Amino acid sequence: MSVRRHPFSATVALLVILFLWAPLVIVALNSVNQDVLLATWKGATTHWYHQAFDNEDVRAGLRQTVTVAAATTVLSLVLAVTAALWWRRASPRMRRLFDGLTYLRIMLPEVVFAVALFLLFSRLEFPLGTTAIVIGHTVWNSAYATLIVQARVSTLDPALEDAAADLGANPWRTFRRVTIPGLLPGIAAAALLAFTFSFDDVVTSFYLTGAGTSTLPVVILSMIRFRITPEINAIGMMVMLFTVTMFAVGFIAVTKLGRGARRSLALPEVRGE
Amino acid sequence: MSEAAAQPAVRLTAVEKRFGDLVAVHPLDLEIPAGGFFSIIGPSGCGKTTTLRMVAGLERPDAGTIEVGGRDVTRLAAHRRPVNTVFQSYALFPHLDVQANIAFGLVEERRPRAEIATRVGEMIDLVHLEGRERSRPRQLSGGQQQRVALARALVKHPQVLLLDEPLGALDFKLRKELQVQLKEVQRRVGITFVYVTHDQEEAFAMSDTVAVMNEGVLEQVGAPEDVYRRPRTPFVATFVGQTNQFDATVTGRDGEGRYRVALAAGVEVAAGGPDGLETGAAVQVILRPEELSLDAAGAHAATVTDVSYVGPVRQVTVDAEALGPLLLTLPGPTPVEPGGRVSVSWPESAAWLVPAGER
Repeated sequence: MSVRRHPFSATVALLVILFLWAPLVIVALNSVNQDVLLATWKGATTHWYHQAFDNEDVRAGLRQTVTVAAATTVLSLVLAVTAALWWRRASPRMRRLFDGLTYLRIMLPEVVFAVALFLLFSRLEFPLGTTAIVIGHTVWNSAYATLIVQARVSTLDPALEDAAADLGANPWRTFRRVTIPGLLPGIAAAALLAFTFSFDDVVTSFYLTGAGTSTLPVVILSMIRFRITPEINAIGMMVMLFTVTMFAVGFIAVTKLGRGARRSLALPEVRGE
Repeated sequence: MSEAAAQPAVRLTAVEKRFGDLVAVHPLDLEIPAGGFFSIIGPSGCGKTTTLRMVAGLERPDAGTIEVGGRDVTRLAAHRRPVNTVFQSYALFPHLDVQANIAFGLVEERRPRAEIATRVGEMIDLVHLEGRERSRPRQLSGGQQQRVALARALVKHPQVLLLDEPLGALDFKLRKELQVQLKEVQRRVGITFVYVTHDQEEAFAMSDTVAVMNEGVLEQVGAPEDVYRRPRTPFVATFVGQTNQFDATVTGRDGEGRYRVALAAGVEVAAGGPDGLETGAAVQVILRPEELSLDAAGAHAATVTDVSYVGPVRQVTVDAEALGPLLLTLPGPTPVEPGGRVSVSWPESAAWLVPAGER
């Protein structure tokens, strides 16, 4: 079967691609442009990258962002796996209620949660900063993680856990040797998503940073408000590179997890090969 | 030791299970003799799988006690019970290869590595899976997966092996082969097998003892031939093989377990039956199709209505003048054709009475 190409759809597709990628290409070019005003091309330089690296605000911001993203990921995963396993055995009513709450966390504007948490923390005199940001990120990242892990949980055959118990594995061993390996692809995908979402978050971080160290996206935002420097382009490129690498590594990990899990959990060489 | 031999492998006492309003298993008493091949058969939804899962510890009974080897295990969690299960879906761990699947239970017992390796190797030989040690379950055929599931349970040397329709997903020919293999494995290891199936032929072919269940109630327990030839309820009679049934009334006793009955059609026949049937009791006469024969001097005139070839035998349906339709299975080539006039007879020992009042 052949589909006739229509010139209109081809044009639209081209324009979409152009508008999506053009800014990125410009950022990439300007990150190595010698022209301070970024008006014309004045030859290549790595100056802006050096400047970005030497900027203590940027470095601290990056450290803070990674810390927050890692903590958010771990917290979201624990919540998501626990919730999904409860959800599997819950009554239909409780399931619906739970699903509603999960979707709500995704649909409500982030700024609503951010402001609400900001007010709550002020009221409780809970200090703003790293912990507050992690809590704020986890509120909605755990919702995405839950959806992904839930999808995986529903494909898990309960007979496998019955079999593990039948073979003498106590509930904890069953969880470790059968449930977790079964959920692993979902857990890895959820981790990837939570990490990257947390990594480039501005709104929640902005409200909950307080007087402490800002995360990198917030640092960039304040830099732009002050003055647009070519350094921003270099930072942008580095963040982009980091995110893409993360995803690539994550993707390879997910596709190879099956084999990895087997190696760590199976008995190596019961019989010589 | 003699006391241990008399000890049943599994004893259920007044075991009951409900799922909400549904009574899956009515209070049930059952003793499973040690060392034999025991089958529980019945139509789907009769409670046989639930009963098996209660023995395994995967379902908790609402009442009653379960003993395995004389020990009360009613309150024991599944992972502490000395029984293992071969699941209907096999439930092989997809992330582990064949040998790791088989070793799973031994790892949980914290056996030394060398012992695990030896025992897993023995099992692989026993179920003929040499060369597939490193395969993943999804790379195996259905029959091979079934054998991994069997090996994985047997390697633990359970007191009782529970099998939940383990051949249900396989095609006919493979099923026949594995029936023979299963029976052979059971004889070699000497472990009590409790086998759940809806296929009475399969159960009869393998079992020393069969139990027939229907709607959560145990209908009869006995040797296959006993259950087949001397069913205790109309349900058992119809569930275990084909049958001709007639409503009848007991008219007299001819001695121990022998009766005369009047069929509804006004014909009087002699039949065997359980002790204690009163004159006037409503019964059903059970006649197995293979007990009937076509005979020129037969007592019951009939017209052949259908002849069909079923493998080695042929099934003949006739319309008997006094009795109505009858089903016969006849060996070898018999020169009958639809419309032909025949007469049907059976030996007196062939007819068996079942009290009609009981379910």
